[in-house]
Amino acid sequence: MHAWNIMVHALPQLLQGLGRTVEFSLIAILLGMIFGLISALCRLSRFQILRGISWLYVEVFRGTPLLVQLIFIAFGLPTVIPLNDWFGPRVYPLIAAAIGLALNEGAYITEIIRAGILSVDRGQSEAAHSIGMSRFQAMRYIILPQAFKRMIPPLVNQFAQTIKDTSLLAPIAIVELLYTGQIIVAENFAGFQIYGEIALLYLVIIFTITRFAGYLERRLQIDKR
Amino acid sequence: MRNKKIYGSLLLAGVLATGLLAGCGTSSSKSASSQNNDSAQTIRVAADTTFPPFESEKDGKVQGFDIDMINAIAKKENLNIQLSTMQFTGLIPALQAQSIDVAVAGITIKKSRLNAVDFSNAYYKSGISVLTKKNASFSSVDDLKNKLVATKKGTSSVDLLKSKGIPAQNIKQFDNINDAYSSLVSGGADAVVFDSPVNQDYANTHNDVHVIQSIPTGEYYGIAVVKNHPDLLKKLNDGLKAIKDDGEYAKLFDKYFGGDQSGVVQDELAPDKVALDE
Repeated sequence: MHAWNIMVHALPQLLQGLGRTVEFSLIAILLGMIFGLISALCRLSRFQILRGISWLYVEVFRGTPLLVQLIFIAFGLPTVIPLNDWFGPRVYPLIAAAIGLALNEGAYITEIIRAGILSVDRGQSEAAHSIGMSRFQAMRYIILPQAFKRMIPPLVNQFAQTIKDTSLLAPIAIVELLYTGQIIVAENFAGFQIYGEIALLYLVIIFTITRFAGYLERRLQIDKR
Repeated sequence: MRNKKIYGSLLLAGVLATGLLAGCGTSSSKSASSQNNDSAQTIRVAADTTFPPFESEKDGKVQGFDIDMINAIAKKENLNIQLSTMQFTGLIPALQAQSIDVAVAGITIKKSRLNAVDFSNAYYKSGISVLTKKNASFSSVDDLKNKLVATKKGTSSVDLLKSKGIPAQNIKQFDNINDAYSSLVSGGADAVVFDSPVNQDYANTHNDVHVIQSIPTGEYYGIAVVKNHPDLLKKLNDGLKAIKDDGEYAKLFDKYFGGDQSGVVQDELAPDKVALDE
């Protein structure tokens, strides 16, 4: 019963942290989608320079640990560029966290989108060209709608991953769910209860998202029945 | 059908998780202090190596005041030391889980911590100080009301800042004090408030910062020990007394604090007498 009290007592504070976690997840997913879409289109473009830049971006952000990227952006960059002075010391850490997460997600989303587009049969774009569509029109009306459907499962996977990744913001002093828990544990040493509670909160959020994705998938798979 | 599958797998996951947790709860780690053989007893000591001059890592070797001290105590009491390093916030939980026997990390003796672990007698009298850039315009902790203050996560410095009325959103808590210092230097914080010996050590080795104020807090450092292991606790206290008596303890102050004696605790100070009321 005592353990239960600790958990109930900590909940309001943890929910505040959870709010931060959700905020950062949403920002990272949104920005990551934008970065990923731009970068995927660069990846498939006719210009070699764009393909090269996008390739490098994906390789760097997929080839290094997210925690290293975050620490580098939050603690490393300001030692050579006066970012804290430009944005203000209150704002810059938030920007570093959001941008760091979004860049990382964007790299993975690039690959998901690229694979989705490439998975659409070549005949589809040939057919589109043969009825006089431009490259852009073919992309917009024929390829992307079909590709998008196939992207949903891996994208949702990536969104769930993003939510879990936000826990890596704790080491860069962003007061999200895990950090809030660490502070509470430093006071009451009830690690088992508090960290368990945190795990449950993550589980609830991610489970909700994956259920929603399942629903979305079923809605879009009407033709597959 | 799909739904059934999902719920089935969820149920399975739940069962697995509870099994795991229950397993964690009951698996008793063999605590070294419970083995009593004639040869030297091995104790598992954990330190947090981001706390110079008490502990730091140079060329892959853990060193510092605390490390030398625990080694000297071990020698006196015929103990073998198996040293590991972990983050400060993990030390007390690790003692609770009995995955280590002893933690040295300049740990302030506090009432709240005494509920979770045992402490040796005090070995260092510490305070907290305020470190700023040399060109900063404030002179004391009271000037920090609307400023950003960096410190280490879950330490007594956080409690002090809160008691001084500094709002939580202005306190940046880092896992690692080096990140707090680098945040000060790169303009991410206006001051670092932390244990004076560590701040002093940083100021001695970096010339763009200085300590503007020392706040005597009546804090004492102790060696944290797994609860309910009186023999081990007694050995540590005996060893501590022995090195105080033969002068080894005093030598550590020459080596790590340039002879500054302000932290010396020559008498036997029991932890419950010096524990902070937090």
